[in-house]
Amino acid sequence: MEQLSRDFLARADQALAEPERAANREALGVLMPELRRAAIGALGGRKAFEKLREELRVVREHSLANLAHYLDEFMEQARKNGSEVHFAASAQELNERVIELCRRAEARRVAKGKSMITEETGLNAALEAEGFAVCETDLGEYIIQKAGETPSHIVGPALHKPESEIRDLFLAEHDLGERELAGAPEMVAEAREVLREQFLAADVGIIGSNALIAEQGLSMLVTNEGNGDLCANLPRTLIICTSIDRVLPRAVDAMTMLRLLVRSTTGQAVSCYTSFYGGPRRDGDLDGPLEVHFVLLDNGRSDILDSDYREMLQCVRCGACLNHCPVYMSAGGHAYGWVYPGPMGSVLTPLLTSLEEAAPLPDACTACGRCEEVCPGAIPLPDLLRDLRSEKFAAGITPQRWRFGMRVHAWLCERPRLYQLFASLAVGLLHRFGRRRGVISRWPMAGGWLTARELPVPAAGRTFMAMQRSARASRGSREANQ
Amino acid sequence: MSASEAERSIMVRLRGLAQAPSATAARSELARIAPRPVLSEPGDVSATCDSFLERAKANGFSAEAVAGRSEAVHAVAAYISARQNHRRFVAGHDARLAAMPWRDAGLLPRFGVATAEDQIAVSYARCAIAETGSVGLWADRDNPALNNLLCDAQIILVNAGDVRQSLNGLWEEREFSEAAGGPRGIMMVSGPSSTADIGMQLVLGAHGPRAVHIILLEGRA
Repeated sequence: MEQLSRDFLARADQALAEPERAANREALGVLMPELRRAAIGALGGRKAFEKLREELRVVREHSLANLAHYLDEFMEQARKNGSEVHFAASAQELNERVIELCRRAEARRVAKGKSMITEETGLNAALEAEGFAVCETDLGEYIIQKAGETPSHIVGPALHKPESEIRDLFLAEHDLGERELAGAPEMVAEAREVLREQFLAADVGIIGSNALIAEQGLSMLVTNEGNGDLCANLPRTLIICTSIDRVLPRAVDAMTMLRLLVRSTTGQAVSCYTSFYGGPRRDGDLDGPLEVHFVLLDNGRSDILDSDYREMLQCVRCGACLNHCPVYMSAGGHAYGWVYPGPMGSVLTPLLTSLEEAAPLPDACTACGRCEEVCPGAIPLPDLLRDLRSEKFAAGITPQRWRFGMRVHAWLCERPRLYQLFASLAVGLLHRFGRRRGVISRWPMAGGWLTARELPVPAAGRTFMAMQRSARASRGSREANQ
Repeated sequence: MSASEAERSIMVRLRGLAQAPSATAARSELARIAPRPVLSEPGDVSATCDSFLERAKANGFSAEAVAGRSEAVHAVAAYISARQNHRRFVAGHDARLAAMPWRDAGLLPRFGVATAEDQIAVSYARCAIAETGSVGLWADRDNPALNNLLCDAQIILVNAGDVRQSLNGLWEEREFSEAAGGPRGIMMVSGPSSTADIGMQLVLGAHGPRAVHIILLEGRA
């Protein structure tokens, strides 16, 4: 997938100019926090959530610290179950492995379940370039594949598509004659019918994995549609593409993760289908794949493991940080210009690609802290973003005028009296120019900031420090009078 | 880089980063910091079943409890009659399904794997989970996975004695190898197939069954 993260600001502007494509996102921003809150409440409230995420954090940290041991165990068990395990160091290698496996299976048609790893590697384009017919089967992924677009959310990839656009797309793409497609139920029914044919005709199924379980050599997949299970059980070859950091030691650890994952993703207590795949069809089985392959991708994850950013590998890809992020809600997923949007994407993208290519992303944060609060992996996302900003500054990637501004700010911060003097001058000016309207909507060098918002005028015309000083003085004189 | 070279180079790097000196040491450390929870806690079977049925209904299943096999067969017949004008359905070769008195209710099962033409499948769950209102279905020679996916509607029978309190209960049988006779997989189903990908509107029947009916066999005569 082509990376366009450098154009974050321009792409965010573009998203702001398309309010009809923001409607679902805005609804999600209101609905998901409510659903999540209710789900956490049913779990036993915030304390229960904290306890559970601490349990998960401890296990995930341990798994990552001993990844080699648990990957060894996973490989041994998976091979015992009859599966084959392959490694890929880079995105290109994963694509090559999958193409090789598809050729080995003499495949022509591939049915795919939703997989962010294969978005990361650009697998669809690679397969199509080799002549394979690839069909995404998750409804959201199918919609954007047909539209020739990229996902805007890691859980709801077609979140940016209004119902009317999807209707027009289906009417144009499905050769099913005159019909109305009045609403979502009719469109879902049509997609079900069209995709059923794809499942039945597919030679290879490709899916992702939410977790690998070392103890039993299993892969866990969580879906609501059931398309992943059809991809896993109908075609004669199943390929599971995931990354090396997904491994958990025991099935009970996967259950801890599941309790947090689904509540954080959709606000449900559990998703409709949670499936565990152990290997190919066995003697006497009437269905199931004849071959099962795991392709495990590194693509920079071992570098992250060996860095100060290893906590990022605790991410379970639930999307909760996106749903609670004011920047994501305004800018939308496409602004981030690569596979992973929102706070998790702003950390992960520079780590998996480069800080230069993803330069604006660490700044795409208001430091409100909601992402860290809701993250089931307890990832300190604002801290990691701040560290990336420091790295960017140190590496000279931050633009020259920002660097100059920050140097001036740092210089002033080291001289508190001067800082206070400038602050009182600025506050006085703001008060003088804005007191009549109560807000300021234009200010030199703040055009960008004030385009979509107004700045409240400091009511007293004094700085916080000055107000504190007077409050303290009047308290002192009151006490003296008593 | 070939797959084996990639495996070697990635694993060499990860071994260098591993904290515990051996897999055994890692396992001991895990047992110390996160002891394995009890898989099935003893509890009041009736309360656990009530809790399972309540959560199953909240998940979008329809559900009922019946006394035994004979009542279950009639419950299956009633459900099928309400949905289609014939009495045929598909079921796996699970011995528990084969032993049901289907003819008593005039039902005509076809034992095997579901095809796209089948309308209703009947399956027998290995367990149910009260914590989430889910049923655990094995994928093995007697229980084709496609029977849980291809039909418009599915009826799932489960014994009250197999209702477990928590998700951990799904793992009472931990062996998955073919040699040990384990299943090739498990499907935990927690509601009819659904999607909210169009206009964030919840629609049932995205790919799998649009409706799933749970029949809990209480084991009374």
